[in-house]
Amino acid sequence: MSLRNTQTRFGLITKSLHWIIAIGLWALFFFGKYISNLELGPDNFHLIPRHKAFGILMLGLITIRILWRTTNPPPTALPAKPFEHLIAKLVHVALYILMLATPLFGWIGASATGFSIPFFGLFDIPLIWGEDEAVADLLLSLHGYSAMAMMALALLHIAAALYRHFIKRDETLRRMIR
Amino acid sequence: MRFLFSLFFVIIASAATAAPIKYDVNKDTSDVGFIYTFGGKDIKGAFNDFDIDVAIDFKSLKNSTVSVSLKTQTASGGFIFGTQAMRSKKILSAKAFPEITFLSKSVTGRGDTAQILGDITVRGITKPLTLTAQLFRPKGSDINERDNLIMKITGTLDRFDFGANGYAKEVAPDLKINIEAFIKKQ
Repeated sequence: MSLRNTQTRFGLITKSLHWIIAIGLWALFFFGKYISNLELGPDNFHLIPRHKAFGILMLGLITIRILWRTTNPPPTALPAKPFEHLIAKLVHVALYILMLATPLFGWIGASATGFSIPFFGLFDIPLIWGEDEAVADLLLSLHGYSAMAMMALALLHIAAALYRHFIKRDETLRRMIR
Repeated sequence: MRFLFSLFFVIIASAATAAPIKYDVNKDTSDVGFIYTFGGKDIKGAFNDFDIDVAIDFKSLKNSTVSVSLKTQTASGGFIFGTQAMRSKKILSAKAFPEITFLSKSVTGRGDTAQILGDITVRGITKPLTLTAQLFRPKGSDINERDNLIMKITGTLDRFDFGANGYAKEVAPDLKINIEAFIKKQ
């Protein structure tokens, strides 16, 4: 299997990044929802920096994925109706924007709280905004809404993939698996 | 261990003393601590830099004075994020308000404790506060020992009274003050 994409197939790097990021984002989404519903105390407070560290890790992987995509275009899209291509393209663009925006909102909001962001105990992630309660409240709210929008689009993306696999019976999903 | 050195006893035993005795505080052994409740659990915090001036008139307790200055940028919340929260704008706003001060206005004795009424200033807001003080002498010291003593000061304050109302959902408003000062006659 080729590491790079070809005109007809996704390469190993694209597929690996796709599935690692997909699983990571779903896990982080439910992790974030779990934390936001917790009554925080000394026993569970460590979960917040853990969420932040995984979020920064995801941001790094998403950045790599975007850079990889720009230097290594995906295979040619399989035949579909023009409006299906258009919707697919819009969803993909929106997903990439939200995959960047969601962790960035979280990073700015977390910075504005004034709390440090330890990266799994190895080092501290730089704070990119000064302590500001209003900014923290706004950006962390945006972080939550952005995450929900991203996961709604991810569901649409999954539904489209399943539609093409089970109804249209084309290679779209198989190209990302095999 | 040390023995309770009741103020009442001190007053009786040192009737000859005429003026307040000034004491220095040993910062290395003293502890300016507090307890706050986070998520239903008590957490111990502390101020790592402080100044405490104590003058005790064993004959007439009302002439005694206590002043305390705590450096807010040395506040510790018991764990890294607790410390960061303590010093943040939402709680002590340590950069804008580098000190918490307490100045006694009157000292009264009852039994083996003294009540210290004074003014505390937190985040630039001054409110009256009553603290309770007890004196102890070190274990093995003479019963009339007054040169080296241990002063325990306790009290409670509501942080919301001073605008330190951040993290209200997670952290209870009351802080229990718990100072253990090792004092030495000047």
